[in-house]
Amino acid sequence: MAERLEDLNLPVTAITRIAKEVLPANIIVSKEAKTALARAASVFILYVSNQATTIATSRNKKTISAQDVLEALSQVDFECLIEPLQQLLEDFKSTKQQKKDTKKPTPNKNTDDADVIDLVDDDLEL
Amino acid sequence: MSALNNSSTSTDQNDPNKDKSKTPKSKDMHLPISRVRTIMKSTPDIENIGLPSLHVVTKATELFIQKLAQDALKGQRHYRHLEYNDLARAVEENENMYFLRDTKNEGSI
Repeated sequence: MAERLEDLNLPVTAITRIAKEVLPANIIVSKEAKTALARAASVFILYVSNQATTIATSRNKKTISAQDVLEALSQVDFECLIEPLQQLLEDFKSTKQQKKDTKKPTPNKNTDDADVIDLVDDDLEL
Repeated sequence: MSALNNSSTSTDQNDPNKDKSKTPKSKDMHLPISRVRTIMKSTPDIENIGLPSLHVVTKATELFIQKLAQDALKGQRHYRHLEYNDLARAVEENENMYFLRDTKNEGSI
């Protein structure tokens, strides 16, 4: 799917914004550092995806689950990232549930049609 | 993967009824999820990617960048500047970042 090399790159502006969130405001990040961060992020994604794929495959699954990803992170010594990610998962699940709950269809359409038909019948009688 | 589009367009922001403090989802994501998915798809042998796992990978990547940046800052020598060498050093000093070693050695561009 990623035919071109640039498709494997993440936008440098987004990467920089993410890094600056945890850096003091007066820090200047050099252009080379920004590019390096972006490349590191891409490699990280590939690294974790590879690990997660191995885990999923070993369980005869064709779809990578969030659990596979979390386990992959544990295997590559990034346990420090796991806790905030679990929180994210909880929020994700609860938001998905909220969306499902608000999507209930309104059952009033049939009765409206029936009302129209009744009115027509009344006219005919008169 | 139409569900992918629904979740990444932050409908939460448009809904005035949603309590914004309780939904940290799409507003906190800086990285484009579609791009993350493209990168993941280039992994050999990968088949399907569940939507929650895509979100987890995206967020994990953001946290990773922050960790790398913070570690690089600890040993920075150029006052107020974060340079390429600072990042390279952080990679050397963290065992769990060894997968980046060859990338760093290839040069920045």
